Amino acid sequence: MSDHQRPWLDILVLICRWFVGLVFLYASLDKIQHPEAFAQAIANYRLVPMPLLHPFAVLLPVVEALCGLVLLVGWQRRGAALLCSLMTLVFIVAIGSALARGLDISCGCFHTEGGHGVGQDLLIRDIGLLIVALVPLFAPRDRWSLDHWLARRGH
Amino acid sequence: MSVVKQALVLLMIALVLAGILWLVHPEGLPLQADAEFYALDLSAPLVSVDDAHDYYESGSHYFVDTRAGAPEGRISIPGSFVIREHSLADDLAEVMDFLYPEDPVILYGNGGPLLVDAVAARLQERGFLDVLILQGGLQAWRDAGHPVDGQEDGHE
Repeated sequence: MSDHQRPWLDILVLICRWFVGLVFLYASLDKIQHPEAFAQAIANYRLVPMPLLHPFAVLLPVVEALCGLVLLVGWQRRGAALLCSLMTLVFIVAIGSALARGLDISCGCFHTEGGHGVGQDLLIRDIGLLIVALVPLFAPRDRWSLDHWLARRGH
Repeated sequence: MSVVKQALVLLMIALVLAGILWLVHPEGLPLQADAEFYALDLSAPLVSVDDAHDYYESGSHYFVDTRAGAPEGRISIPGSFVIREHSLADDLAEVMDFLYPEDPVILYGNGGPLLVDAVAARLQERGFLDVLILQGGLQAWRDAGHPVDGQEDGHE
């Protein structure tokens, strides 16, 4: 079946790409504005070594915002989807680890203060997000993207 | 461009942007986190090196080495037990004839409070009531010139 006979694939990739892009962009905003509160949220997990805590607290939201933006426009789509998938995987491990250790902490996912406490529902949510992020990562094409438009102009 | 290359390009861009953000943010974080600031949320209270040394001299507290990795041959506070987070159950089983939950213990690590705090929380879950964390860890202990031992394995 040719590419043109599978328009649902383009729609699926577009929806998943936009969904993941919006989630990561939204998740980054409060963290970028309040790095000190986000650093505290990360420290509460007791996983990141102290020398890496502040660099991590500043870099992670920027990676989230950048990946969110480029996923929305469809530039470097697969690289951004890879980073989003890896970040989500790290979040799943961190939340699972906090649950296993019985830590009663805020997840720091979207809001740095007064956010959702870690729980199994967060694990399920992040596993769902990971599955959605895998679609733009492995999709063979993405017709309604900047990547596609640039490739066509190049030819 | 391969997927990994794309990801690396994005990471490099993010690194530059984060660097700029770091420089211009009015409430920019210092590069080095202050462990004591984040120690406010520790599971157990901190004990200063000087107080810990007094306890060491009086023999009132047991010292527990929480650093990951094999304990043989490395520098440690003399007489320390070894209880590491990654092998907590096995390590506790090894010392159970010598260390009881009612004993006061001082935990120490390399200086960062994260690993040692994880051990503190798990010991408290197992009924240890009097748990302290050595502020600054082994490095602060050594900097203060207090005794260390590189030979004893800590189980005797």
